Amino acid sequence: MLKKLLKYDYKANIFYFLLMYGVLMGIAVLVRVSIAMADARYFAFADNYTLSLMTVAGSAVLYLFACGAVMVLTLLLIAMRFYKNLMGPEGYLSFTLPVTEGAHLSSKMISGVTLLLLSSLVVLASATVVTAGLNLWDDFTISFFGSIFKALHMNHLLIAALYLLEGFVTVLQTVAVIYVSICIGQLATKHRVLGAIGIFLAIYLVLGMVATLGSAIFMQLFKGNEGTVLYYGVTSTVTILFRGLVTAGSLAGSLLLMKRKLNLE
Amino acid sequence: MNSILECRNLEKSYDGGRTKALKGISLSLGKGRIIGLLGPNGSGKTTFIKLMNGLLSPDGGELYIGGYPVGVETKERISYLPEVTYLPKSMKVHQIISYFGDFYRDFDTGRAYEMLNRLNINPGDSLKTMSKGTKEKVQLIMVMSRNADLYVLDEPIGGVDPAARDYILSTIVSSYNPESTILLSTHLIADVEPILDDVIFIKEGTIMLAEPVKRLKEERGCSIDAMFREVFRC
Repeated sequence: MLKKLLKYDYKANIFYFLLMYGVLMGIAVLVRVSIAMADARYFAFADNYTLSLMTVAGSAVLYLFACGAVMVLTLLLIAMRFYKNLMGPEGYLSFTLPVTEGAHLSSKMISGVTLLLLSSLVVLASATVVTAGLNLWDDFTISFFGSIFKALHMNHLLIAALYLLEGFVTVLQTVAVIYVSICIGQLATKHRVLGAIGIFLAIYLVLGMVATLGSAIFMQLFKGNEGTVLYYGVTSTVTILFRGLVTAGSLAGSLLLMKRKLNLE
Repeated sequence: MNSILECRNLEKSYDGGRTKALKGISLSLGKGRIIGLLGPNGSGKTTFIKLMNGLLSPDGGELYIGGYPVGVETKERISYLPEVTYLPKSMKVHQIISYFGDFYRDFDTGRAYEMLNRLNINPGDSLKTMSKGTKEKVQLIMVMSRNADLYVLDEPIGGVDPAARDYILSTIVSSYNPESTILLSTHLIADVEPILDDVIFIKEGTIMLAEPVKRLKEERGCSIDAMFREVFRC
């Protein structure tokens, strides 16, 4: 049944995601073309430097805005699918299917996480379009970033793997916190969406405070040893464990509320 | 086992226990019957129906459907028509049929298309372009195209005109398996009275009466509608 749920979860949003990705890639191509044109103009009319600079800057701002919009819209679409399909009138259909609440949550988690990762990959792909042929990765850039990575001990394979895992757990946590916020918000009789947004912001406020406190404690513990492999290894591991716990707690809370406190519109 | 549903001392409250929607009801629904669950607004009908369908959790008591506590097994046996428009509006009718076919083993796709054809509903039409009445007919077709043990229909004729009511009631009667049970919740008693085998009167979360229609009419010498007005007089 999980496969069937996933099929319908992906189908429900596929049109919007393809449209969004198409628009972003279109903007990326436009930006790349405008950069190329500005470049050509600069060489043709050396005195028109300001115009070339403005074109490139404007294109870069438009592109960055589009990237941000894709990530925000991705989160919104994930949240809307969960809310509409499970907590709105459609919930009468979803929750009377011969499927467990756990299967519903798993389907929403898998689809939400994969779509968020896919959007991140599409943003990266669009960045390669924008920077194609600009020689950004020439020897100077590689040696410049390489020296930074080296200074941060990022060349250490374990640290790199931990940072990747941290990124993945952050994606899991983001989706899980969205879902638990909606599950708590639906307990209200009125203004459920506003309630869910409030809960989401409150959870992130608390998480931000915990992160700040945690950083301060680690700085104190590793005084004089910041920037070492051990420091990065320990802080990253603790962050992964903490975010993993927040994810597990959010999922457990969502499941409990779906089983025990469902309050459909 | 002659009953499809058994409940004992079923309780449900809202607002942290301040509003008691069901006050320990005990009931048994026989197989192969058309049963009217009748009561005024706020009497506990929809709460009882939601509990049957696992959309609410009881605060106390027991509820079994086909011998199983409410869960995946009971959802396979119940075909439920809620009061609200619950089908995804963006879907076309043929997509909704595929959806039901994917999830319900007892869904009869042929029957669904046959009923749509009889009503001149185009399977290629999207739900969002349909009138309220047509949407309700599509929902009813989906629900009645299953070969379920128990059909639970919450206000199936509440929002439609009298001509559509007749169609809906005749569809219910003609398309259900006589071995199955239909529980029909409504306050439009005069319309459903001719098709009912049994009635349950529910008031303020308590079962006032649960009897076969025939016996009630013989004993009291009046229609169910008249009896309802008497029991629930304001």
